[in-house]
Amino acid sequence: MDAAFADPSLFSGVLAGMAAVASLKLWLLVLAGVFLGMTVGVLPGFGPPAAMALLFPLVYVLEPLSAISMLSGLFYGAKYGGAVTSILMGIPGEADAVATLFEGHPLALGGKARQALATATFASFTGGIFASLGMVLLAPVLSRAALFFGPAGRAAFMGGALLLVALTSPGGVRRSLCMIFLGLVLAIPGMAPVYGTSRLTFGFWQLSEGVELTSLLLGMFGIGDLLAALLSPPEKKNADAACLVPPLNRLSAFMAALRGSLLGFLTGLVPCGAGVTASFASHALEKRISHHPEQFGRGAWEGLAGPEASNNAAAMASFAPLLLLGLPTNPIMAALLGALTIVGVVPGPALPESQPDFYWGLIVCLLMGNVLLLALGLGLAGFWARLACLPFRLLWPVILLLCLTGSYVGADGMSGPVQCLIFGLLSVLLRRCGCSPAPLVLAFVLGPRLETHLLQTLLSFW
Amino acid sequence: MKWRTPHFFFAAVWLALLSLPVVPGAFASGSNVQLSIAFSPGGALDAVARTLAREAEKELGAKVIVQNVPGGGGMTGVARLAQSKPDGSRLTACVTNALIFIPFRNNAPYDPLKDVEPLLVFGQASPVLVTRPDAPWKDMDAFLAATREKGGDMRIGVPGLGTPSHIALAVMAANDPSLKWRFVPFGGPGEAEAALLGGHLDAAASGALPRIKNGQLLPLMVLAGTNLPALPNVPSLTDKGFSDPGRGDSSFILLAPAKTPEKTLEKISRAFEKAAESEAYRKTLEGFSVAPVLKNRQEAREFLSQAWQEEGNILKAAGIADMPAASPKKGTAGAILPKEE
Repeated sequence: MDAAFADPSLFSGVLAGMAAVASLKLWLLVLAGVFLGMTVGVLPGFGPPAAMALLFPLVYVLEPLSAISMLSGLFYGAKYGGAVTSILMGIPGEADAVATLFEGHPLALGGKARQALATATFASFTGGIFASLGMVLLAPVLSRAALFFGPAGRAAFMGGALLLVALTSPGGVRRSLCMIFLGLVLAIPGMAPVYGTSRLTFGFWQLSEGVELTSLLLGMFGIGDLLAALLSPPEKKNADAACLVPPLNRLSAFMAALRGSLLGFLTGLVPCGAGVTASFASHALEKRISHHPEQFGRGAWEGLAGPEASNNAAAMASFAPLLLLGLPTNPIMAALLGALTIVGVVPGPALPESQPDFYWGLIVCLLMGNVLLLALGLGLAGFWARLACLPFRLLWPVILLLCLTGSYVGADGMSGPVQCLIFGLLSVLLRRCGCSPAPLVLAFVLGPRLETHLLQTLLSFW
Repeated sequence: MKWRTPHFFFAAVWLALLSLPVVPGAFASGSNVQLSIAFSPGGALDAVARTLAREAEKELGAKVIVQNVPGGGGMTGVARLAQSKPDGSRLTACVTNALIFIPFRNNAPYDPLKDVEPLLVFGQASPVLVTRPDAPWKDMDAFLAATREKGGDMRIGVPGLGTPSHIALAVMAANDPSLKWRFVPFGGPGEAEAALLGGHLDAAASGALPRIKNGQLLPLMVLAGTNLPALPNVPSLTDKGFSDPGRGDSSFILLAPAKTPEKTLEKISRAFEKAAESEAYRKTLEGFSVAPVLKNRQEAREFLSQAWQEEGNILKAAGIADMPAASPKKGTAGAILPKEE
C-alpha cells in the first residue's frame, strides 16, 4: 500500500478527477441516474439492463464522464431497488437480491420493515464506499501491470471470463454454454471487426451494422421480463405469521457489513457473475460465524447487512475489470462497455494514465453516487415502498411502449423495434427452457473483441 | 398492510416513465451533427478530428457529437456513412486510404467516388515506424538486418490493414523479397503503441510526436517519401532507397453522404474550413506527424478523383492490388448491400 501512496500519479490523478467533477450538471445527471435506477429497481417487470438500453442514446450527446457516471448511477441505484422489493414484498428483482430476501422479508413481516430498509441502505452504502476506495488504491498496481496484457493475453482472458460466466450463472453449465455460443453467433452478422467486410447479412441492409445492442437488451430483458411476468400466474405471497424478530445490534450489523464489503470487493474483481456469488457467500459466512445461527432465515440483522454490503461492493468492484481490462461482468456492464467505446474511452490497463480525468472522475462519481444513494434511500423510503406496490396491470403497457420506442431511437429506424420483438420472443422461449439470457448478452458484447484479439494473436504467431 | 395510493400518483409515475425515451430524443434533436471517426481513440486522426469538431461547433452554432467507429482500416466508418440519411446530420472523418486504396483490394460496400461527398482535406499523415527504446535495434538498418535474419517473424503493429503505414511497408516487402513481416492490425495507432510498449510487437506505426520526443518511443523511419521537419534525423523511405508509394492515400478527409442538399454541404464545409484555419487546430497538428495540408471542397473533390487514378496505377505497377495477404478474398457479401435512397 506504501507503494500505491508513493506513486505520484495517484495524487495528481485524484486531483484531476476532483477537477473533472466540479460541475453541477454532472451531479444532477448522477442524481437522475441513481433515482432512475432505484425506480426501475423497485418497479416490477422492468429491469436495469432495459433501462440502461433506453438511456443509451444519451451517450452520444453528453460528455463522456457525465454519460458514464449517469449510467453507472442507474446500475447501483437499481441494486438498492432490488433490496427494497426483496424486503417489502419478498420479490427479488435480480438474483443478487435473493440473499437479502432471506432475512429482510421475515423482518418486514415482523413489523420491522422501516428498520430493515434503513439497515440495508446503510450496509450497501458501506459496501459501496469500501469498494470505491479499494478501486483508488488498486489502480496504480493494475496500471503498472498494464502492458502485460497483449492480444493473446486478452483473448485468453476473455475466453476464460466467458467460461467462468458459464460455470456460475443459473441454469447450469450446459445451458449457459449454449447461450454463450448463441451470443457469439449473434455477434457475427454485420461488419467484420478487423477486415471491415460485411458478412452474414443475408441481403438485409438492416443487418449491415449487425444486431443492435439496444434492441437486444430491450428485447431480452425489457420485453422478455414483461412477457415472463404476464405469462406466469401471479405468485402467491407466503403470508407467514409474523415471527419473532431478533433485536438489532448495530455494531454486529456493521461488522457484518464490513466483512461483506471485503468479500464483495474481492469477488467483484473476478470477471464472472459477481453479485450473486458475493451475496450468497456473505450470507453463508455470517451464518457460519454467528453465535445464533438459528436466527438465520428468521430475520437475522447480520444476514441482511452482510449480503447487502457485499452485493454493492461487488457491483462497485466490477468496474475494475470493465475499466482496466475491458471485461464486462454482467449485461449492464456490457452495455457500459459499448458506451465507453462510443465516447472515445479505451478501457484497458493504461486508462488511469491515459485518461486520468475520466478514470478518477468516475471513481469520485461512484463515491459521491453512494452518498446520494444513501440520502435518497433514507429520505424517500416511503416513496419507494409505495412505488413497489404499483399493480402490474398499470405498468406493462408503459413498459411495452418504452421498449419499442427505446429500440426505435437506439437503432434510428424500424429495424430496432422489429429486432426487439424478435429477441423478446426468443427470450421467453429461452426462459421456458431454463436458460438465462445474461450469458448470451455478455457473449454478444465480447464477441467482436474476442474475435479481434484472436485474429491479432493468430496474425502475430502463425 | 396495504398502502393506499392516490390516482394522481399513478398518473405521475406513468407520465414520468413515458417521458423516458423522449429525454435522449430531446437531447439529440435539433441541428446536431454526428461526426464518426474511422479509427479508435488515441491516434492522430482521432485527436485532430476532435479538435476540428470543437472548433467547427463555434462556426456551426450546433453541437458536433464525436464518436469512434473503428474497423477495417477505416472502411467500417465510411460504409456506415454511405448508408445513412443524407441530411447533413452525419459526417465521417477518415483517412483517404478508405477511399482510394481499400476499394482496390476489398469489395467495399460503397463507391468511393459516388456514394460519399468530400467536404474538406484537413491534414496529411506521415506515419513513423517506431520501436521500444530498449529494443536491440537502434536504427532502420539494424531493424532491416534483424528482419532478414529472423525471416518473417518480426511483428509490426499497424492501425488497420490497408492503412497508409501498412501499404508503405507492404510495398517495401513486395519490392524486396528478403523483407518479410507479420502485420498485426489494430483499431488505431494508440492500441498498436500500447501493444508495442508491452512487448507484444517489434515495431509499430505511430504519429504521436510527443511520445517520440520524450523518449517513450524510438523512431526508425518515416513511412513517407520526405523527411519530417519535426524529426530531421529520422530517415524517410527515399533516404533508405525505397520507392515512395505515393501519398494520396494518407490525407485526412471529411465526408458527407452523397445526395446531401447543396446548401447544407456548403454550410458545413465552410464551418469546418474555418475550424481548420484556427489557431487551436494548428496547435493540435503540431503534436502529430501530420502536415498542415488544407484543401477546400472543390480542391478535395479534384484531389480525390486524381488520387484514385494515380493510386490505381501505382498499386498495379507494384503488384499490390492483387497481392495475396491476410485480407479476405474478393466477393464477400459487401456487394449485395443496396444503397439507401
